[in-house]
Amino acid sequence: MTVLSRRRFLTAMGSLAGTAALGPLSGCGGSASNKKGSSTTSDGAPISPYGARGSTVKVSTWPVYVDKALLPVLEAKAGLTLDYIEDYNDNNEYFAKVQPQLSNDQSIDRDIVVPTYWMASRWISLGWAQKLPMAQIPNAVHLRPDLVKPSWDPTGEYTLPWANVGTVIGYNRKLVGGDLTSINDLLDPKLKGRITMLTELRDTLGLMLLASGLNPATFTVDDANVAFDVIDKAKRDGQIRAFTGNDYLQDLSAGNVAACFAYSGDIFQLAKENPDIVLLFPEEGAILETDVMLVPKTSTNASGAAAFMDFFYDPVNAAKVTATTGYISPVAGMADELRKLGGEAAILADSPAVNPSPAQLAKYATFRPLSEDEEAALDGRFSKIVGA
Amino acid sequence: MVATTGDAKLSSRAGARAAPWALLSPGALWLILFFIVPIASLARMSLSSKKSRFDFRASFTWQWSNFSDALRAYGGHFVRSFAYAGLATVFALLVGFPLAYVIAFRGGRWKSVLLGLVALPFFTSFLLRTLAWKTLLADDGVLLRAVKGVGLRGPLQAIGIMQDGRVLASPTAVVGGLTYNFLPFMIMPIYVALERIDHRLMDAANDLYANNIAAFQRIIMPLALPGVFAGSLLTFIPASGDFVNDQFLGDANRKMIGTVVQERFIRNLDYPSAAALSFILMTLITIAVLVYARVLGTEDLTG
Repeated sequence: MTVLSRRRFLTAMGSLAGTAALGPLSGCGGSASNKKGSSTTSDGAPISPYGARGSTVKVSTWPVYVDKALLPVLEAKAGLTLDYIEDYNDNNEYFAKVQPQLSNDQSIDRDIVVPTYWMASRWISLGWAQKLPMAQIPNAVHLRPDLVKPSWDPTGEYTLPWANVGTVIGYNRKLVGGDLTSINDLLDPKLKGRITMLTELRDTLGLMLLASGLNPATFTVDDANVAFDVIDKAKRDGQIRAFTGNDYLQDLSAGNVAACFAYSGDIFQLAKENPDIVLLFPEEGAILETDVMLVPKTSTNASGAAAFMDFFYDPVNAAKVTATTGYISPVAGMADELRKLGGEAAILADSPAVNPSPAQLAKYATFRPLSEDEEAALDGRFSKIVGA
Repeated sequence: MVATTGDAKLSSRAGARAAPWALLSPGALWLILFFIVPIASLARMSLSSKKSRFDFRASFTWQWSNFSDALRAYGGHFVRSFAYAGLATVFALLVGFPLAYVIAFRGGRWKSVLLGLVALPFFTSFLLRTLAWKTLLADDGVLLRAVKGVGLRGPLQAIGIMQDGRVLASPTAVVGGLTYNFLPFMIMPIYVALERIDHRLMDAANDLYANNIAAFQRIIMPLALPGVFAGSLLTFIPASGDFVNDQFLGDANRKMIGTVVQERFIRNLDYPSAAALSFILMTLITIAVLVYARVLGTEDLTG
């Protein structure tokens, strides 16, 4: 409690100080074209009213995804108040939560949302994302070349990646009573009732495809059914304790779960607190995903969102986020800054889990795009397994 | 402009006729807004179909198959939910009745404090209380370590309270969580019923040669029945539709119907089938309540 309130106090002080120090400059900061009242751009596309300074930026994102010490720095630097909310637990869940509002053009009270790439592609195709004011994100030039104009956002106008996430295995060496090497190790009867898998279709199906020697980038419906059969049997046998969202972290750290499908950075962070926790890149392979930042169409503070994105695309800040979270950064030149930070951070620069070389990145499998019908069919089978 | 006496009488009579309706209107409006309209919209949704999963709106197509499909796929979940809710109600009654009795008859000046203690957990959120159970019952937590320490693991395992050396992710934890979370809803109405009983009735019964057990059976029980009835409904109905306890304390193989509804809504965006499931649940609960009321005898309860 004390820590929290102290942090909140410092945050408030930081933003106050920021406003005081930078306030007078705010008039010069915005360019003439950013004047209020110009509600469309030259090509007629609507833009959001500007005026980030003094405004509040509300961010919906996944838990343990940032170096929280940076948030007050950002507030002070950009002269805005951040409402950083870790309420993104599961892509489908979030989609269902905001669908009623967004399909009626009502505000969801968020300026940045951080969905996974495939979900971002759905948001873009539904017209729920607005074009990013790239002119206000000069640091976007640091975007890693392989992430420029990605498949889910072919024009690169709607999203900026926040991080690459490896879907891997996390386990507790003490509870397992040894070491694991493969995905199939999780199906060992001695771990009965002590493993969890994820409710995200692409994570769980992807890893189980790999476990059956199938390729998530090219699989067929028959392949998927092979993997589903394995998952279904494991569930019926009581092998799988639960299917979880990001909340698997609690069960793993509480010792209720011995091994689970997990996100690389989560395990990286948990391992720092608990030396028994191990991050395993399974011998069959792992899944690589990208979580991206986008601005919902109903947000009226796109420039505040831009300030947020610009801040985290500064390689120095990106290095600090990487050092804290252990997720793969989308920012080029981040590794050099990690080395400059020295100590543990410098070691991370050479860690393949945190700063993989292009060859190491290639070892990850990427789940192939699905048509709407395919996705409905796979979701249908998967949710029967998860929900019953 | 001057109203004649006849007019005044007429208008006052009209006023008298309108008065009951005027008095009814807040309640009626409430019912229409928060009961009739949602039910109608749910009924409409349950008979609709969606072209694309990502459509928010469904089109009304008299899709009766939503109901038959839902029942076929999730019949077992209904049975399980009612079994869990029924068990939770019975356990809540077993724990709640003696507690309410003690507070009402032996509470003395501590009555309000004791009642406050019953209500105290309600000052934190439902979700937090359930998550707290998760901590309490953790596989390697305080409680289970103690249980294993005193050698109770074998016996508890034998009677099915523990499974594979754990309580979490089992029906025990779900029923326990339901019982705990809805317990005050059982205690409060029973307390109110018992509190109203005139203590001299017991003395009178004793004077008429009833021993304590007979007096309890023939005086206290019948008078407490309305409380038991209300408490059972307040426990059973929300418990059978609950998904929070199931989600956090249950296992992957034995889901309750509330979880299924939530899954259909949130993960599959299949609003029609979720609406159909909700309707079936509602109907079954209504039938169960009517049967229960008939068995207990509603005249006694309302009179």
